[in-house]
This record gives sequence, C-alpha cells and structure tokens, in this order.
Amino acid sequence: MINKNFVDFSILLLLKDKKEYLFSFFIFTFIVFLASSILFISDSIKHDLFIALDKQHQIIVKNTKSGRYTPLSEEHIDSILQISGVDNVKGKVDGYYYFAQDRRYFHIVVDESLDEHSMIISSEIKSILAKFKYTTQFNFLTQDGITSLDIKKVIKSNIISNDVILVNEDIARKILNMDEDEYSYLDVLVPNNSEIDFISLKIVDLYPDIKVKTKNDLKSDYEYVFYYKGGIFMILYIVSMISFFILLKNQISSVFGEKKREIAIFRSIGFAIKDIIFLKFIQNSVVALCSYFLGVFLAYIFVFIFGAPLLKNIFLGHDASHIIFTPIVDVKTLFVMFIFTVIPFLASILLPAWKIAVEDMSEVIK
Amino acid sequence: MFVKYLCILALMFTVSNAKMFQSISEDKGTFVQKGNTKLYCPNCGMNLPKFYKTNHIHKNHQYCSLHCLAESNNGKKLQDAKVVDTKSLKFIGVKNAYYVVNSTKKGTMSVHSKYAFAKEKDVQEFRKKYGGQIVDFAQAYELAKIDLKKDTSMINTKRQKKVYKVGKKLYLAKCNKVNPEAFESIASLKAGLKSECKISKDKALQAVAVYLWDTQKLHKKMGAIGSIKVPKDAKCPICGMFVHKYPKWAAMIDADKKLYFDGVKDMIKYIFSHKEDIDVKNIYITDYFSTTKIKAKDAYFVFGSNVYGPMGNELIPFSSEISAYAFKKDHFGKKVLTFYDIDQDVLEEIEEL
Repeated sequence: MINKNFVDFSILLLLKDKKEYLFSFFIFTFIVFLASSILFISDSIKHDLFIALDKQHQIIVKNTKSGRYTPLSEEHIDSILQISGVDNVKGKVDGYYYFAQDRRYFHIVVDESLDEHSMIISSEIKSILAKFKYTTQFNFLTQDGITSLDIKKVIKSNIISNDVILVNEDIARKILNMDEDEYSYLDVLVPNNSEIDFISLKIVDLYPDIKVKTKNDLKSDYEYVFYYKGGIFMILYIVSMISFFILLKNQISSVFGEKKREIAIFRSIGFAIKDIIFLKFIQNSVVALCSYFLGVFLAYIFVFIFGAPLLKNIFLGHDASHIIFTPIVDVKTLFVMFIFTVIPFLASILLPAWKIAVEDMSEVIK
Repeated sequence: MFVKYLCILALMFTVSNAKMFQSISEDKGTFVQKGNTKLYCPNCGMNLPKFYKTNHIHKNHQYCSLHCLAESNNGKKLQDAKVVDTKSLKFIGVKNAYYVVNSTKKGTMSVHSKYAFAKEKDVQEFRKKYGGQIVDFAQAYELAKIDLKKDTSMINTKRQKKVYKVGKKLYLAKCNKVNPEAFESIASLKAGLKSECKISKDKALQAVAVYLWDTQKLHKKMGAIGSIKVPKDAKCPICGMFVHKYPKWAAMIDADKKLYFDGVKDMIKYIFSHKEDIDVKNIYITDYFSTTKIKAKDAYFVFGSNVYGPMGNELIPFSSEISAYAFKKDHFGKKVLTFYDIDQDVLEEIEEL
C-alpha cells in the first residue's frame, strides 16, 4: 500500500491540520537549534584551543614565588637542558600589558618575523584602540618611556587571539619590563612521549617552586571545561531536555483528542492498522526531519555567520564582541542528537496511535 | 619631594639594570686584548664585559673564566696570571688573590663558581652574604681542573641540544657565507661574523660562532637528525608484528633487502641466526631519548630496566654513555652494554626476566 498516492494523501492531511503541528514544529526546531548552537560553539572553541596547543612542545614550565608566577632565568634553561631525554628548551616571552584607559589587559605574544617598529593586532583590539583614536599606531607606556609601534596587520579574533598583540621579542621585553635573560615560561621538547611524565617529575625535583604542565594535562583541562556535565552546559541541556518533554506530552495528547476520532474513521473505511501507523509515521517524520534540519541550519548561521550574539557572552563574558568561531561541525554528535530527538518524537506519536487503532472502533466513535 | 623623586629614579635604575652578577658595562672594565677581538674570550668567544667579574689575564689573553684559562693552557701551572677583583673591578696578580668557591652566586662556564678578591675584608663580606669557601689561587685552579671534565660535558650537552640548532638557523637566515677555516680562533671568527651577519645581539652572534667553529672547523657532530622511516607493510622477521606501529622501537638492517624489527632484542636474535651475511656497519637502531636513527655499533644498551618494548623486556638503545647511565639510574636498569657485549647469554637472561 506504500505508493505515491498514499504519501500525497498523508501530506495533504498534514497540511489540513497545520495549526496543530505548528506548535510541535516550533518547539522541536527551538530545541535542536539551542542544543546544536551550544555544540557548535563548544566544538569550535575546543578546536581553536587544541590547534594552539599542538604548536607547543610537550612540557610547559612556569616559575612561581610565594604562589605567584615569576620569570625564569637562563639558569633554569641550562639545568633543564642537562636532563637526559630533553631535546630542547625554548625560553618564551609572553605576558599582559594593562591598557589603563579602557581597563583592559592586552596579551603580548612574540612573533620573531616582525621588526622593531611594527605589531600585529586582533580585530577586537583594533576596535578598542580605534575608540581612543589609535588607528595607525599605538603608544605603549613602559619604564623607559613611550614605545610606539605601527599596526602592520589585523588578524581575526578567535578564542586565543582575541586580546593578542604580536610583537618582536625585544619589544615584548621592553613592554613587559623583562630583562634579557628572563623568560615567562619554558617550552620543553621531549621526543619520546613515554618519558614526558618522568621528565616533568625530574624538573619539579630540580626546582620545587616550578609548576610543570604537560600537553596532556592542558588537553584534559580544556576537555573538562567544555565537558557536557560542566556548569553552563548542564543548565542549557536541562532546558532543552525539559522543553523536549513538554513537546512529547503535547504529541501524545494530540493523538488522544480529536485525532482519536480520525483514526476510528480511517479504520471504518477500511484502513489496516499498519496503514494508520504508516500514515502517522509519514506525517511526523516530515515534521521531525524538517524541524531537525532547520534547527541545525539556523544554529550554523547563528553561530558561524552572526557569531552567536547573547549565547557567546554566556561562554566568554562581555569582552568577546569580536570573537568569531571557526566553523567546525562534528557530524558524530549531530547524529547522536538526531537519534535522541527524532526517535522519541516519532515513538511518542506512533505508540498511542497504534493503541487507539487496535481498540474497538464503535467504542471510539461514540 | 625631591628625595621621593630620587628614590623612584633609583628604583627604576636598579630594575632596568638587574643583569647577571658578573656583568658590567664596557667602560668600567679593563680590556688588554687588541683589535676587533678585544671583547671576546679567545677560548670560547664569549663576551668579556658580560662575564667580567670572573675574567682572567694570561700572556695578553683575556679569558672569560677560570674554566677557559685552565682549558686553553691544558691545566699547566700558572703563576703570572691576573684576575679581576670582584669588588674594585681592577686586575690583580693571582698570587695575592683570595678566591671564594662554591658560593650561591652562579659562576661562568662552571657548576662551581669562583670569584676573586684583593682584600680580606671584601672576601669575608662576600662569603657572609653568599656562602662558599675561601681558598687561594692554586686550590681554585686545582678545583677548576677537576671541574673541567664535568663542565665541558655540560657545555657540550647544551651546545648539542640547543646552541647548534639556534646557531644554524640564524646563520642560514641572517649571514653571508663565512669560511671558519680562515680564522685562527673562535674570537676572531666571531669578530668576522659581526660584519657578515645582520645580528646585533651578542648572544645570537655567539651561537652562530659556536655553531660554525664546532661543526665546521672542529668537525664535531651536530647530533643525529631524522628517524628510521618504516614502510607501512614492514613486518618484523622474528615476531611477525607490523613495525610501523612502534616507531620509537624500530631497528633496521640496511642490507640488500632492508629488514625492520620492532626492538633491539628481535634484531639481535636475527643477527645471531644470520651472522655471516650481516655487516655491523649497516645496523641502525632508534635512540630511546631522541627517537633518532643511530648506528648500533656506537650505541649503548641498557638491560633489565622497568621500561618495556612491544615485545616485553628489551635492550634499550642510547647514543651516548651519559644518557644510558642516566636512564639506568632512573629506570632501575641492571647493566649498560655496548653492541659487542651482547651475546647469547644476554639474550637468555632477558628472556628469563
């Protein structure tokens, strides 16, 4: 009995009862939209963080003094280099410059390819500087006076580069007031992965004040922040789950109302039980699929084209107006979401429909 | 108000000048060498004002440290040398100098620092502040000679792991071609490089000079680069496992047909059963620490440690004796062997572990 006419008939019936299906359609779309927006944002942030992490060596070493970070010296590099298993140690300069007019910290990062008169800034910083009429250059206030640098290039703001200013190493030392043999952190290269943990222990053994983070530690830190059970994520998922249950309730009750009579009429004009179930299946699949794909599509546009206004601030706070998200679509999670939304949705209508279809028709029509 | 202003100024001055203990500015010191190598140590090329407080003079050569003095004179007894008085920054004869060794202030090119003073009062004051023992020149020189071996190995490790890499990168990026053979000392090479390179920092120039001098004039090894490339379908002839899954353990015999093994143990088994066809020169293994390709005949193997390879207990290969012994100590190894020490008994012992 599965033929074109039957499908046409089901669709026609669906369009006749537009209003009743509209509610389900909107709620479903909204839930999918919300859930996939969160998914897109967290996946994109995670992606950017991991890409930045991949560029680093296996162990990151920072120095502390009375619980606060302090610079490391050439001596630290020399003695960590002597540990067998360590292949290279790079001293890195990196820190924050306080821009008092806007009460903001700028993250100063070293880029060796730049000369001593230019810098690269993010689009977020560009807009902050533009507020204070710094359009082609910016003056850093340092211990030795003013250091002014030309804006050479503006890069896109993502989660990492949002507050970044890239400068030459000498200039970075000047801005951050660091001496020539001082380093903010050390990047330790360990070619053999199975030695990483052991070498981190050895470094701590050498300098008890030092804080050592391996790449895997950082990775699991990031994972933890964006794990679905964590804080904000849990709240958002609970919201979508509750609204999903409201939707299911609506679905079930719709079958028991007016629709009960409709099913009985179909039965009495000769529809088999499987035909009725199939009819309901077609109608609700259309609703579910349309709203699922519309939801995902809207979320994609909302996050990656409009940059997720409002929702972004929940994740990143108020200083994030220029952050754009790298488009990352995790098909696997979208598929899991499909299974967990579309199937309960269909089940919630097919089971009651079947229950009514097998009842005594004369009872129902009365 | 004026005093307050002065205080801030003084503070700023100290903050911006918080350099190394040894360093002074160029105009405050005495430099006896002539020409363009005036400010460089003839033994290592390092900048003399940067390490001024450990400078020594001998026969018109000004060395950056006691280490360099001892090294370039092969540890011969010296009585006519001069040393900087850490307090007054003037040169004094070593006979009259008091040395403080092992103080908490870091030394130059040595694990044990050695600073000299002219007056007893100054030396006591320094020792009170930074600790250490007071000795005369003969004892300090003796100590420098004892330290020489350890210090040299430390310096070599640093150069192999870092300085050569930095130097090579800078040389290729910022310098014109220079022939190190034409220079008689590292100091003159460094002075020559100053005009050939677009480098302003002394540290960077030093790295380039050390790289060129050591690798091209003294022909020291830069350390192996590159690892054994294992084809995807290569199977170990002994155990039949795919070798490319364990690149850290790969071993290779480079004969007519290339053979790959997932560990030294399996390779040795193969070698014992095909002794006559294999040339020792063609056997390569992967260094455990650096995961680079090295020759088996130059390697050191640690046996009986708590690190397991893909086939269980392993002979773990290292390119240097120092790292082999360091590994043995850290991972409870039983023995360090060379390639020629490995025989049937060793194999049996591994199997029994």
